Amino acid sequence: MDENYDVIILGTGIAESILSCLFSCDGKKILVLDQNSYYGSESPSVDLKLLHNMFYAGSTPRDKLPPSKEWCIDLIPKLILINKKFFKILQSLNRLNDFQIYKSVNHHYISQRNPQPSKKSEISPNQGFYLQKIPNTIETLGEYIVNQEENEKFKNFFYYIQNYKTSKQEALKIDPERSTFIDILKIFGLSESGIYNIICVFSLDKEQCETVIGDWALIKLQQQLNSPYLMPSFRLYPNYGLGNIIESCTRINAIFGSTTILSAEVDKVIFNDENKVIGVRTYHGIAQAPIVICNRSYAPKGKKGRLVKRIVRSICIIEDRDSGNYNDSGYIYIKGNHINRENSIQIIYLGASHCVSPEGYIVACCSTVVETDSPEKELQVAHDLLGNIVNQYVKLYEIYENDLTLSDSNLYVVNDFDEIPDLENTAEEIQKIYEIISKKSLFVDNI
Amino acid sequence: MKSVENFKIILLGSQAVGKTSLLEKYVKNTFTIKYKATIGVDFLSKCIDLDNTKYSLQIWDTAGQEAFQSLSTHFYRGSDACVIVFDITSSKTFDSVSNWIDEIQFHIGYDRKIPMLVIGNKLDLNEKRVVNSQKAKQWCEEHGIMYYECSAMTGQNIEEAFINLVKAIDVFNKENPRQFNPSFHLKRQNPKKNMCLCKN
Repeated sequence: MDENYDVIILGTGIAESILSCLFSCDGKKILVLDQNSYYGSESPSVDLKLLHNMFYAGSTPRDKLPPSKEWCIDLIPKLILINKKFFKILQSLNRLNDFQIYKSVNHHYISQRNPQPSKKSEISPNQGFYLQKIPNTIETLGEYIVNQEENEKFKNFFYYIQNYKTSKQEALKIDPERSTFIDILKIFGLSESGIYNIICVFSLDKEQCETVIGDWALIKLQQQLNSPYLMPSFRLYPNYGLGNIIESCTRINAIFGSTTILSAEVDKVIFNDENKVIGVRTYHGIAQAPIVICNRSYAPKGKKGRLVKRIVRSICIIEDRDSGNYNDSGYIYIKGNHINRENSIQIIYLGASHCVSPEGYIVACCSTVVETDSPEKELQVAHDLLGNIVNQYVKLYEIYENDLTLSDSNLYVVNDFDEIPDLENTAEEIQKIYEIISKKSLFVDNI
Repeated sequence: MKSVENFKIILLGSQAVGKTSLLEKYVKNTFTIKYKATIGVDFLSKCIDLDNTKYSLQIWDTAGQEAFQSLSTHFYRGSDACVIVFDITSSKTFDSVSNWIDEIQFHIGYDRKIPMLVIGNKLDLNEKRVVNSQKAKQWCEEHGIMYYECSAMTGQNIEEAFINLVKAIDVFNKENPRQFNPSFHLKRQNPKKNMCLCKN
């Protein structure tokens, strides 16, 4: 323990683990400490027994539920978007992919205001909204095309993207440096719902659609379209949960000679007179390092950042006969203004095909930003949608934010997970910290 | 056509009992007397031919993680068999075998069984032996575990132990068929194919 390290990392959340893995692969000597007896810090993947104990200490889950080890429940599930930043970080960690298997999350629903439910939608009664299934792959897009005429337009558009920058495109007179993505879609005469569906397929956000798209972005779309990862969905989730990525990272660390200690009795981060980090004191000794990365629970007072919002998350265990087949994973987005709220509610549900639950069960996580004094009730809308909930675990999270550029003491505090269902913010943070510390770019090609 | 079976076997045991030595002797037929805590070894693959079937064994070392009890469920997941190694010249390491079995059951679930093999290593130091062979064998039989005594230095018995383990896995898998779970890797160029180094 009384040794010198290049970097000490406190906590084993996803950001900390990936950072430790990146540094280990660079040949740095890393020490990872975690107070808990399990990996994952705030966002572990736990079995049913541990989950139950975390919420109701001392009691056991219902008898009729299958054995504990068949569950792998993320306290904070997040999806991985194909070809986005987090995906690229995972790809760059080549060794990681020897261990880790990903599967697509097959369904994507978004709320629409009642009335006018169309044929393709699934109506939820007693609500001011219904859920519309939206395409998330080129293949499924076919189901949403209404008529032959529209079909031709789609074909033209995809043909255009696929062959962008080749000779046959001249006739269309599209200047990507002057038009937005929506403008381009309009040139092909697509209807409003058609435009909407294409935006969903490419998982673009509002800003990307409404600003000038530019040459580069179109090439990226082209790559995305021609990418083998496009199939079968834009959203992935690792088998056995995010915790499995964390545990794979730990193994890579060990292979590269770094040390990970669980159930470590961390006392505090220690600073010198100039307010620079010099190491970490534990109850077994002092480990020295010029850089410390930690999550908020280890940060000294005054460095925890500021409280920005509170989030309520509920984990629901649902009995479902269909679990275990292709259809048991998905993502539901309920727009805030459809349920008279400011913030939207997100539901991620996963099942046996991602090895999250035994067959016959689905695990759903609903989350939203807290707006009232009774956060549990705010999720009622989502719970009503889910149906047969067997067990339910609700937890409030306080989200603190830190400005990394201010850390002149060489202590980097990783931010809490926010309510957004993907890991792009985390990826951004990983890149930032990595680049500050190792003074080189994380991505070679800078895409 | 011959079929190929892929097995993941995990190697466990207290520190310095010779897990890595045993693995290297078996797979690469090399042995170094100097003790070095394991760094850098991930898993080694070995192909064997048995009764017209090719077996590709992926044998996972602990990568030194046992020192801090930081082995994760991920390490145990998907394993077809466990090999627990102890040192016949140290009774403490034999006592810890039952702890390791507990540990395995904790990670794979108490309701699941997998084939296990206990290896008493350092048979070349037989004159310094403190663990009684008969006793160890009896203990293992009581727990339904195979028992072998080997030497990573001379290579004695290692081959035999692993071949019998593979046979046991085969029998076990026929009784408890594995489920096929389609999925895909981020890495594209058939990573599994490169792992088996045997030429046909």
